[in-house]
Amino acid sequence: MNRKTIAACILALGSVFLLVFLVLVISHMIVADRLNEHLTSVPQEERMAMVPGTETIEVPEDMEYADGVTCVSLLYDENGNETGCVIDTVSTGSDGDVIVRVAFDDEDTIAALDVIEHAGLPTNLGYKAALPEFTDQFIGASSITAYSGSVSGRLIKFIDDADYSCAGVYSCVAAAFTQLKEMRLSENEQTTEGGTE
Amino acid sequence: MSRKERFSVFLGGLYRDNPVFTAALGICCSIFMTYDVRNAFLTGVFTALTLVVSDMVISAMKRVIPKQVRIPCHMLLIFGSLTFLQFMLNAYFPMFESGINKYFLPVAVSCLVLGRAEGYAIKNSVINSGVDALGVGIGFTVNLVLIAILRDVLGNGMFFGTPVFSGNVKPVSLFAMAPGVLFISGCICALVKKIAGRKDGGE
Repeated sequence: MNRKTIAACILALGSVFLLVFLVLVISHMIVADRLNEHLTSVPQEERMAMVPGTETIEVPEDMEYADGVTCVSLLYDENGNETGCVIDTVSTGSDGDVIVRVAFDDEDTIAALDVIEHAGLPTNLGYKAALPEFTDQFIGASSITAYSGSVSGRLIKFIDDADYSCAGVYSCVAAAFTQLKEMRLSENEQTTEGGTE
Repeated sequence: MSRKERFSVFLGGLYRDNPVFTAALGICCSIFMTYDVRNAFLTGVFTALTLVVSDMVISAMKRVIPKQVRIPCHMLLIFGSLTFLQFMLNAYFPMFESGINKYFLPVAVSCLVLGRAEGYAIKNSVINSGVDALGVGIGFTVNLVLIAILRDVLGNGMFFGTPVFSGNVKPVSLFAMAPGVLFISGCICALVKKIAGRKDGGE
């Protein structure tokens, strides 16, 4: 290859790189608002159906999320009384992320739990962590003891061959409980401050 | 080029010259994304979209890219097309709860897109490349959906959630695993070659 050819190759590679980069930057700028809107949007009906008696839903914008929590939605009945909340969480399972949605009722016990996404393929590993025989163990739990792998004093049985994904779901539930605890602490602090004033 | 010739290009991409059937390209997608019919269909559709956009771009730029740096440039252009499509679909079709990125991941590593760019797009016009890519994409989607259905029926004994077998007949779980996919894929390739051979007047 002579110098001219080398220069032409470098120029072509650089031009293609620049072109791709510019197209991507410009297209991202154009759709950035819509992308953010989609990422923070909430499929309300699915979340509202998780706790019976819910009529309206609200996603507080200024809430701080605990580790592993991606979204918190507060649920209300027709009179505006809180019926519970739904906490979306993410953790690591077999072959990828496990996304779990945990719904708490007004007594802070788990009313429903959905494994929204997992990367486990059928017939080998992680998909078993999404089966009701595993997820139903969490229903009705009001506390979690992470070091012993139990909820409300009951030991959670992990499914054979799907331990890693089951651990991912368990971590998600633990993150949801941490978030709930922080929310209640923050509410108590606000109430105390209000009372003092 | 007449409409009939263009249709012939489309049919060629669909099954006769489709690299999925002639060279077993895209087999990794078949293994990883056919455990569910929905996944298989969406992966096929997104692969088809990526194929059409990237092949048309590569065909349009074939004269300005020197042959010595052809492959890195094509990889860059495919990456650009894929990411551009991902942005657009994520922004304008927010119907997928967890986003569509997981359907694009296998496309990114699929040799099918680069294979078709190298095999067809660099030698043909922009429109012909687009038509051929559409045919290849549809052929690939049909192949993935067929594999997913057969995998579910033979391996799990289910057809869209309905049990197929009864009594002592049991599904063969091997079909739901990777070796089963290779076997099913091989059978589909043989069938397509047989049909293509008959249409060409061959064996």
